[in-house]
Amino acid sequence: MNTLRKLQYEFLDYLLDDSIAGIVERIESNQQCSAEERMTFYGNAYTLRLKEALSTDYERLHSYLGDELFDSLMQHYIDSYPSQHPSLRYFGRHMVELVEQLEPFKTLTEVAEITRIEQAFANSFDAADCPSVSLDQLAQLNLEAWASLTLQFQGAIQLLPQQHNSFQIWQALANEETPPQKTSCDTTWLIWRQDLVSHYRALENGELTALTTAMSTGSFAGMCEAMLEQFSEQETPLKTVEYLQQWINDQMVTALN
Amino acid sequence: MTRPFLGFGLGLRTEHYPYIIEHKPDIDWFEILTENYMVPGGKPLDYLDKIRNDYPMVMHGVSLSIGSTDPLNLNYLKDLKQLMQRVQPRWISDHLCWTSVNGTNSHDLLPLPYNEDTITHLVNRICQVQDYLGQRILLENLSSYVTYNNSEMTEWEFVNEIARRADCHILLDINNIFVSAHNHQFDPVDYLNGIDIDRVMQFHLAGHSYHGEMIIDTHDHDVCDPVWSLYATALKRFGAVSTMIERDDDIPEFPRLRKELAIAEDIATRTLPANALQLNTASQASTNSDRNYTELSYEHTA
Repeated sequence: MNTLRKLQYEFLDYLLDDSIAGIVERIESNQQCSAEERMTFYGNAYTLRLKEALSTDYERLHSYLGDELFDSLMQHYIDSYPSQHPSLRYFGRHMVELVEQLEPFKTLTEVAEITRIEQAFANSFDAADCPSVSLDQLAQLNLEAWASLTLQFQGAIQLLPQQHNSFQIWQALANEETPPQKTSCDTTWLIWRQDLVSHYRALENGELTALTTAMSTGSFAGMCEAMLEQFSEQETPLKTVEYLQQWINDQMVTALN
Repeated sequence: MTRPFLGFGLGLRTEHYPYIIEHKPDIDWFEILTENYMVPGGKPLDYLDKIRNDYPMVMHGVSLSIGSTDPLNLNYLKDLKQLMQRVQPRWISDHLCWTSVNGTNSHDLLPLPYNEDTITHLVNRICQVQDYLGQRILLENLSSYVTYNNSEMTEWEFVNEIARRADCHILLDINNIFVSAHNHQFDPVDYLNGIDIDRVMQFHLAGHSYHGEMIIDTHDHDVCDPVWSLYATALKRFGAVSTMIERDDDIPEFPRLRKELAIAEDIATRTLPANALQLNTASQASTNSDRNYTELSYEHTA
């Protein structure tokens, strides 16, 4: 067992750090192919497979950065974040962390935002399924129930605060168009899933306040209270119901209790 | 033992989802890549359920890491069991290899040294997995590019001994035998003849690529003539074995892949008597009913 464990550590050392000294002593060589050459098939496959996973996960980021810069980013990622999960689906999950730390990406602040957008869509795509409530269920609530009403939301919802026009850049890249120049643009975007398809839209401040409060507290009353900071007492009930109906139509709400 | 015979199948690939759902093509079964469906929900599981409604399935994993010296990954096994409950596969398989150590996953099927210590290690772990899942598993032979100088036996002796001692089944990849035979200079027919007939439950077929003096198991080409020929030899030895084609790159349109699968059917028809190829899907032979299964506790990986 110890011999096997040592062999596996040495094999992994080669894949991670190109340290061939340990493992090569254990590999048979022949005229067809030397031990060093044989190991390169595993070394190359390791890097190619991980780069393929990152390229799939961050296709728009790749388009934005171009081949050379994206390849350098991928290599840094592979060196910095060895896979800790049995599924390649989760290999690239630390990419935002890396682009926020690594030059030149950390000075290109839109890069982290584009990365977050791609991650958010991936997370929304295979988030847990849950039944959504209907407007009929909302209509059936009696007056007393509204005071203590709590809301639950689907797990696919993602809120993405952005300081730049990164969503417009992402949209252009997704449509294979030339992306616009980076500009400042303080907006929060919402991603949600409806009929298994991910959707997105920009949130106005009122809806952002309502949704953030409703999602964090679950309380409809708490949401109304928070809305009073932005709307008058007359406007608040109408706006609140308007938002709630919109969320239900969008299949975002999974329970009314 | 009567071996279940599912007929001729293909690997289920995302590119083919819409075609399969719309056309319901004439195919006996699909093999799914287990890890692709170990997700909380969304389209992958929706497509899986829809296609499962129309076809038998088997599950094929790449991350069990049965040969690792890390403890068995209980989280992985729990997810695997949960997916099995959803899919109700005819059987499940993985590879006779290791993929991770020290908590780090290589996402590659890495070879093991063929010796007594490794056999003991593997048999113990396979038994634990089979006990946990409540059924026998199939383990597949690898294509490999290295052999270790502390190996003490041939690969087929190693595979066979493990299957016997762990009481598991073998998924025999005909292309992998061809690839490894070339890379390590042995006769692929010796390999086939060294495997117990009753242990083999499924065949894989696939394409490969040449890189200088070596062959790489790329799954990006059609099955080549020498592999078809080896398949015919395997049929003569093992009889009717559920057969599928794995295609993972340069994936053609579904009808073209279906046409390639028809070659396997044709070879089987010409090689075996007609009554041998009657589908036999009723028995769940992978269930090991003479053992008492209990949920064991495992250590978590780091």
